[in-house]
Amino acid sequence: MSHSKLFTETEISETLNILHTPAVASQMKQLTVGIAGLGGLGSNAAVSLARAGIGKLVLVDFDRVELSNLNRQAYLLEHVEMLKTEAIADIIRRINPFISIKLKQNTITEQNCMSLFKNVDIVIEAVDGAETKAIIIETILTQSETIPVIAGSGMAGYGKNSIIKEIKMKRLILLGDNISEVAPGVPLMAPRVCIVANMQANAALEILLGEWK
Amino acid sequence: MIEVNDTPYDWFTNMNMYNLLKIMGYTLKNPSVLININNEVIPKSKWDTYIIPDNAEITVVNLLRGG
Repeated sequence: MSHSKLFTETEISETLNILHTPAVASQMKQLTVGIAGLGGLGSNAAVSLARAGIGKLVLVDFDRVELSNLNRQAYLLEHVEMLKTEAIADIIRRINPFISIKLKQNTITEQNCMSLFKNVDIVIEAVDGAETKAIIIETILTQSETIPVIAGSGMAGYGKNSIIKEIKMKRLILLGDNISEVAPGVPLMAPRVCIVANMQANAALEILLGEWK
Repeated sequence: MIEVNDTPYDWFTNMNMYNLLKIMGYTLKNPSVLININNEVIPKSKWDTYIIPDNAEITVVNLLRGG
């Protein structure tokens, strides 16, 4: 079923104008967000930005959906074994089929990072590996002069709402508790991962809509 | 005097990144450590030559797996 047949672009657009104000809704449509990794952080941040009416998403992940992802990632049972890029595109199209989506099946490295995200306004770092997180942050901050990065670090387990924090640096916001690493007996679970994912999406809007000081 | 993660430390001439990492208890070239000095992230490619200025305000973050 083509989801674009359910409602017209004008109907969706006017609804977002009423909800978000025309000023914010039209500004949102001009923005491009890059998301590095489509796991618990990236898939959930992508869904929130899609609901917010973001203009374009550049979505990068090399992996396929597994059953073990469904405890925290935005995917559904029918997506198991699909590429995460294709699966998240399916979900986004069911929320708003008029969001422009660019999918890239890549492992992110120091060498390809800038070309993957060359035309984005901001990058949400949402990969699993700590070393890759550092590579993405350092590469974008040093090789681009304008693109901010919103990174996540420390979101395993459950509870402890009050220790999740935001560290703001120049063109970098780090979200998470910076303590809770994934470990045996300390798994990633939907509530806490989704909190950090949505803090990342929220921080991206704060910067892009010009509220960030 | 420098400030690392809001704690003051003594500064000395030619203080480098490896001195800083040692103070913070990290091993050399720990790949997931991020060092922000005077509001600028210093990439690992510059760690070998970077000299920490006196009065530097420093944030050292060890990024954690999970995402």
